[in-house]
Amino acid sequence: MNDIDDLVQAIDPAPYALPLGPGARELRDAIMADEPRRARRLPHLRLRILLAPAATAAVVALVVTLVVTLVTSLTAAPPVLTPSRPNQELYDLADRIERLPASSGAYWRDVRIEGNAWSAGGRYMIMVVERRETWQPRDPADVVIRRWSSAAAHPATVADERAWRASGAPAQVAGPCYVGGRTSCRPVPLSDGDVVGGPPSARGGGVGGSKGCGYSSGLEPRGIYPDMTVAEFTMADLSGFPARPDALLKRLHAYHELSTARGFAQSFEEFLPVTVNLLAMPLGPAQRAAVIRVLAGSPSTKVVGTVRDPLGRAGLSVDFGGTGSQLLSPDRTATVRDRHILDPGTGELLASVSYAARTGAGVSEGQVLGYRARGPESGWTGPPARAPEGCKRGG
Amino acid sequence: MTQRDRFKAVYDMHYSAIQQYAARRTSSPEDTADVLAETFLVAWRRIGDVPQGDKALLWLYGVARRVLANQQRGASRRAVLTERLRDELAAVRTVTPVELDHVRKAFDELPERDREVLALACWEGLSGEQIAQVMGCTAIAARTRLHRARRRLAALLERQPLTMVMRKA
Repeated sequence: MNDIDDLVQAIDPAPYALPLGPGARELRDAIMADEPRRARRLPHLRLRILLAPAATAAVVALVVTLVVTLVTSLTAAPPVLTPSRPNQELYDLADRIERLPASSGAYWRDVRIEGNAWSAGGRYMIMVVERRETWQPRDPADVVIRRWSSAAAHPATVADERAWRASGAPAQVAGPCYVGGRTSCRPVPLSDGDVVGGPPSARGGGVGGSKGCGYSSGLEPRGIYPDMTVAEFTMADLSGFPARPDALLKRLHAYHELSTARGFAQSFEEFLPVTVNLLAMPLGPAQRAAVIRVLAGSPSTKVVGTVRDPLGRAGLSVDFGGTGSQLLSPDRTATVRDRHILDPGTGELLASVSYAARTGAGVSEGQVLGYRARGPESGWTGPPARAPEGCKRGG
Repeated sequence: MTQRDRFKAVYDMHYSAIQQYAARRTSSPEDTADVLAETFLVAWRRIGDVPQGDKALLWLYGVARRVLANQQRGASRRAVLTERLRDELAAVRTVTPVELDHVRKAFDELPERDREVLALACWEGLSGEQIAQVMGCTAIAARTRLHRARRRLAALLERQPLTMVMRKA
């Protein structure tokens, strides 16, 4: 697979398959309403059907007959058209997922891969990638395990890769140094290989490799889920989350009031988009469907379309409104617009991506400047068999 | 296994792949449904000729390709299209991300044969040998066409501004 193939893949107009739905089954039954012809008796059928206009007309005639047969035979289940609403794709997604079987396990594994664009001395941009994972037990009596890896980087775009090669393809560059945070820009390994996902052996010192990884394990007696962007939840809170939009909305208003009481001055409408983070938490399909329906009804929500996330997975991209900024160097920021990419099969949050809102400051409009993606290993699982191999305890 | 069982198995196994194939090459749910209906109608009428195993899908791609060629030649038709199927197909509306508009534009500028060989390789994920079966040419010819199509697309993109590639897992 080369860059050209990657690009063609990225513009796939139908990147995910539709499962066999009721309409598809109706089509199948309508086709089978007629007896198939025997190929031996009609050796030239293929040519006649596919190439001859007269045969094509015959096919159309047959199809029309089948339509009549179908329409008259479907009185038990007449199709019902519902008027299209704004963000209909999200309502459709909720309808598709709400009856999926719920899974469970002793641990909820959450793998996060984060990428942040950073300027390599003003010559080209790199994408610095880090991987973190949490094993959160359902029972707070079990230990919480966290694992993290040292950052690795790759040139941010093909153009950046050219610039990197032109400057001698250094294997290491100064990494991000945040104002008010780390003062020294620690070096990060830089290569043109994949630094995201894949087996550590294939990546050498890349993200998630055994070189430069650490872990911790310990009890968290309160059993608080690590993502507290919406509110503080225990695993039991999440398990009892409402599966009806009206009840969920009421609950979210309560969380908003709590956040206001703690000094976060934002309206409920400003607070609501952050609830997309619930779609990465251990909720069941019906609960996720309720979250999606509530978000679909928000005035600032807009479905962008189907895209591929930074890990190459197809998903539904949604804009919940608002812009932010991204630090590109200690003295340079770029305005970004955030998109959230949902798994079309499960409704789970695949990734949140920040795109440059405009051209300038060394970046082009639409360029990915940051992302936070959920690793495909995420989800319910059993307890980890042993401590992460080759990683140093405590980092 | 009866003819009905065999067709049902082929349909259920390959519906999603043919739906994607058709959706990628048509501009409306109605056209997608037409291609689906006609492709599987041919499969039903010729169920005895449909190869076993994985080759059935390549055979269906070949039929769908010809159905599309007929459709694009202007033979207008509206096939078995229930509201339910229309709704299902319409639910998967897709948009090329704005940051990749230039790639889509370059891709659309390619000759049809280049687009098809690239699509079969990158969207359907077929090997050179499988592409040859769908397109009715030799494996060497398919690989050569693919190589040339990649080169032509790269040349078109070279004339465009910044090209970004998202890294894959």
